[in-house]
Amino acid sequence: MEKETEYLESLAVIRKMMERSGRFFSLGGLSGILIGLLALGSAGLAWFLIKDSVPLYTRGTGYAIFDLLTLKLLGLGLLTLLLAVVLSLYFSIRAARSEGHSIFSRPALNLAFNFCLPLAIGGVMSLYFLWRGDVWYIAPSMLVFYGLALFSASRYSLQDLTYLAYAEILLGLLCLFFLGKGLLFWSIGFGLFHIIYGFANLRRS
Amino acid sequence: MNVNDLNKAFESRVRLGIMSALVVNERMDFNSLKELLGITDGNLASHIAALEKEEYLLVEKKFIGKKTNTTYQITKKGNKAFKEHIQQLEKLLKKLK
Repeated sequence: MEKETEYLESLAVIRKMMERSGRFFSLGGLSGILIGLLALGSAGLAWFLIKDSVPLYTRGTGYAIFDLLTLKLLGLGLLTLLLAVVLSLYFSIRAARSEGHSIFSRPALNLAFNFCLPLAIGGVMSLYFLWRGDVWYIAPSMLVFYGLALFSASRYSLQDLTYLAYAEILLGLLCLFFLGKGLLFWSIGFGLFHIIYGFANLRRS
Repeated sequence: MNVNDLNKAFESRVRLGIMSALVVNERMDFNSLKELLGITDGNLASHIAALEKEEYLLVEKKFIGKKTNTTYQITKKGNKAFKEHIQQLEKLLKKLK
């Protein structure tokens, strides 16, 4: 029927434009799950490293501790971040290509800025805590600032990102009441939440 | 319910595109919209004017140095009308099936 195709086409146009204009940051199903698994893997490795020096990393010391263990953990953290960035960039570029637009368009750059600003501030704060030896506060501040970054990016992306943002922020705040359990909360926030988000996204599409 | 219930303001593809983009992106400028929709300046301007006349869009002109930068936002009225339009399309489709 002619009318039917017309309506269908209108809806298709709407969907295509929404996706094309909004989905620059494509933390979709698969990438969400992969990033979650990456976080869990690296948390596991960190736990393995920390295991034998429990007192230091579960209580905080109040002074700088740049020993071998700290450097190893810092390296692990940076490597994880790098891999996560590469993964999400790869998926974003792939999604952008398949929808036939550039990832360097104006809205995409807006999004990148909105996401990176809170994240960078959180990074600086985390490094400060590390420098001060207040390792307790690293996990909560990473979670809270990551949540804020997602929140600030959410309007350029899929709606679901808002819920993930709220969840990360709340978890980060909750973590403040369980200092010393940072790694556990970190694994939940960066591992489990991403995996849940990924599966929810896969089911929807 | 019949075809006449469909909002005339959304009859064109370009207008649907503009509204869709602005539902997702709170604010967009002229060039980004043009790039996204792949149409000419004149074409985009005329459709934007039509949507603005319906009070579906909010136009904001700013100066960046000596250049004007015009950004567009969707109004509450526009958002409501657009969502109703989508619902209406879906309803009509259901009826046809």
